[in-house]
Amino acid sequence: MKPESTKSPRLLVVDDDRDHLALVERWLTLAGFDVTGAESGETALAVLEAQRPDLVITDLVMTGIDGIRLLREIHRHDPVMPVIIMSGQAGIPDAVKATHLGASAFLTKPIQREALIAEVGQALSAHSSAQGGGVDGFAPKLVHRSQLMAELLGRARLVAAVDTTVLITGETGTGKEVLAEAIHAGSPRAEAPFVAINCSALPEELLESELFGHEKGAFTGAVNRHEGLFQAADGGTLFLDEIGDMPLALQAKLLRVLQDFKVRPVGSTRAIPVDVRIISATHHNLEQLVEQGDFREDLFYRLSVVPLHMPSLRERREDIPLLVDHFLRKVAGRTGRRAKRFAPDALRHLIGADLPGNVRQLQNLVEQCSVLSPSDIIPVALTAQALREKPAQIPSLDEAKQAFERRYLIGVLRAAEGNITIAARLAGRNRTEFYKLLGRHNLDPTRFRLRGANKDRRDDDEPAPDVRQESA
Amino acid sequence: MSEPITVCVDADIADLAQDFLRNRASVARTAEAAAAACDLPLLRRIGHELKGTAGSYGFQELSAIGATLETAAIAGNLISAGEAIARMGDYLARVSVVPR
Repeated sequence: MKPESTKSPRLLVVDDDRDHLALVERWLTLAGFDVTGAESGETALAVLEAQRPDLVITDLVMTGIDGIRLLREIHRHDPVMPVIIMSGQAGIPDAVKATHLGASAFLTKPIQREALIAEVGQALSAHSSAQGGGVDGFAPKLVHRSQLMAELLGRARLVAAVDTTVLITGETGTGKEVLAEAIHAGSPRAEAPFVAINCSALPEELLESELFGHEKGAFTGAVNRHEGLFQAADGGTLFLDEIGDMPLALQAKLLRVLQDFKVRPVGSTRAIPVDVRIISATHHNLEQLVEQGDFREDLFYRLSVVPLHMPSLRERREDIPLLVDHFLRKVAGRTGRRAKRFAPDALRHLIGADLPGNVRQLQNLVEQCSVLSPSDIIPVALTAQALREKPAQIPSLDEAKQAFERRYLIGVLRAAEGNITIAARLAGRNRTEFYKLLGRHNLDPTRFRLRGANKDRRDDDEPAPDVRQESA
Repeated sequence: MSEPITVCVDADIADLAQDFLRNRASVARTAEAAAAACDLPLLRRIGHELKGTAGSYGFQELSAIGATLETAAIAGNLISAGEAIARMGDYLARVSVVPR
């Protein structure tokens, strides 16, 4: 069973039993894979420094670095690398632990040749489907593993087959045009042109001429007859990006085209029939523009027969490691050099970063870091520098709890106007406990008392524990 | 001497299977020395590897001997371990590979 791709997937096989390693290497080589063997976990890590296999197969029980530690190390650097664990012990706890740590499969020795090759094929296929696109090769450029994207692509794939207008909404840089291209590629119009135009990039007259064409002499400077994009996209798909920025006068003309599928070039009296599917996109809230009178309601309903929403990157942070890996490989492919990697803390930094420019910003950032990094491992300092600001890190659970507790105590103190007895009662704590909490958060209750009411309102005669002055 | 044992293996791994059997001779000697030195952890490891690797090559009987050796070592049963090592030596003396 040979892998279908022309370039053989690269596998790293790790086993400290030399005879078993030789057998597995032979089986996989004969099956068409490009196999490297390592006789220990240490050797495997050295190999991984130099090359990036598509999949790792490792024995579980090895002297030195064992299979579980190797799995952890691999995923620390490359969280999406598929790893298959082999073990001579059919122990369920080991299998559960390996699976919990992200192993793609757990094989028990003795290994069956067919089972091994099938598991490798399955793990590679699962990995490649996660690396790019959705089901059946649809939208291969939309790298994801999030459920949100999987659901969106599932809908888009269904829509692709039906010749209807689609409105794609989403923030700038989320990949609206990539989705539009994927819908076109998955449609019966795939062999015909996909023509894209950004409606916000051109002045009204020029946009009209670009879309509908013009006759020679139709206006000053129209020295030649010009075929518009509707005609250029005949039989295929016309992608109208930033449709929300289209001037109202042109919206009316576009609506007419969508009603009778005929275009009248500027300066012409003749209407030319066109067969075009319209996919439009916007980062605006079109319904709001309709309410404000900036977008025609009838056109809105024509365009949004099927609305699709591209999620922002912050809504699918789990896709960031995959996207980073994808962009690093792209850079490597372009430069002909080995793909660099982000240091684990740098990758964590990226996952938690504020990326308002979404996937496009991430791609630029990854390319910038890849080019500027002097070593193969891109450090966190360079990543932070490329972000040009301290990224908004996702706080740990403890940090989040602490932050919440502090905000809560401040709220309670405000409500109780700094009266400890009342505040403690509101919080369901006794005074001593409450003082301890305030001390832990460096909060001074006296600062929450109303001016001039301190002495009158204070009902707690006991001396407060040593509470440091609150600086806020 | 008992009957010879023939094991059919895939032709494309027959050379590796021959090498594997040849290498077991020294492993059998190591196992004998480990048994003499009551080195149960080493016996356990030899049995464990034999069980897995021999099985993957298709030497099921040898794999079963490895399993017995591993179990005996875990149980601290040197008599049973010694018997398994003897069976291993006997098997290696009689086995031959037939490519298919």
